[in-house]
Amino acid sequence: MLKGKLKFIIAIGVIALTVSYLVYGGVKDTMVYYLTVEELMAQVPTVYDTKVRVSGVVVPGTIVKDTDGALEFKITDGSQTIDVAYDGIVPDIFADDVEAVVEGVYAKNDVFEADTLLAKCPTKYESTDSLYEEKESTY
Amino acid sequence: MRRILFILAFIGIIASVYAAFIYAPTEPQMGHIQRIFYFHMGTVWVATIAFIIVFIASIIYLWKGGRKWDILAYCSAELGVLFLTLTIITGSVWAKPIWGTWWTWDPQLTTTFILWILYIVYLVLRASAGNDTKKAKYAAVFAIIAFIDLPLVYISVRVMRGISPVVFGPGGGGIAPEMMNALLINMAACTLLFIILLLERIDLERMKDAVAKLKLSEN
Repeated sequence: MLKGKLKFIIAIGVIALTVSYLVYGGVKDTMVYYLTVEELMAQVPTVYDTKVRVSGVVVPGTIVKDTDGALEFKITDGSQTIDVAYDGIVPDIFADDVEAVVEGVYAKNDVFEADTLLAKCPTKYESTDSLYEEKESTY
Repeated sequence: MRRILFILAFIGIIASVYAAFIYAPTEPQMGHIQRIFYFHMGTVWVATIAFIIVFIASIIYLWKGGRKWDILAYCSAELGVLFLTLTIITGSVWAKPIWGTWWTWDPQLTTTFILWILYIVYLVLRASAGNDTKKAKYAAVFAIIAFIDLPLVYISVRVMRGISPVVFGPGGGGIAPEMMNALLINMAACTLLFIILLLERIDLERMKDAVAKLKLSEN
């Protein structure tokens, strides 16, 4: 009986430790899920070549797609802007004015070399009807 | 009574599928993929209710005892995990085309993942306890502690930086009225389905108890 109890307590202990480790690890990494452009710039030059996640709004008209599929664009937090280079899968809703989250390193040539490009989805879900109304009114 | 519930849930689920796929307007930015939202919210709503039931039933079980509270907590946790799994899957399918990834360690996703793990651990604990009431009470203590994470899922997305959208409440963007109707129909249908599954699951657990008793009396 005592053996069983001890086993049980050890099992709970192990589980509790694992869970707290998960919580700690999760919170540590996601306490700040991303940096703003301003925060990134404030960390130059120490931030060079370290992996970071940065978020900003895609500056309209800056998205350039190379023939080989590589992408270049600028993101901004309103005051500061950085260049981003990316080659990979592009989210469906990625476009001008969309809030993008990029993961990668800020290189010494001041270009953010992203290996992951995420787009934040809108928090407002509209009906398509309103779009049709707008279109009609412009005719 | 049970039959009426069955019929209502059946109608509700058909109505919710119709509401999500045909009645609700197409979101202009995300397109048809946004329709997953209704099922994503419906399942997470049920998971939330299920875990609240586990929390309350576990407290009463520790406080007053009584096998029925133990059964309620266990069965509800099982369904909570099932529905939360569906939430995670639907969220993932939604996130892939929209965000560009199946998964990312954003605060809400991280806390949700922890919630999922915590209740799976609870299920393992409770199942391994069997008819040992002392171990069952340990499991109930664990279920009460695990509940701490549930509000964090909802708070984290509002106070911490992440990628998950805040659609409802202060700071949220809101949804079109037809979308709200579709969502409410879906939540109602999911709730009905949950009630039926919970009642059936409790019956099953009681039958197990009855069988165990019969076996004991035969020996």
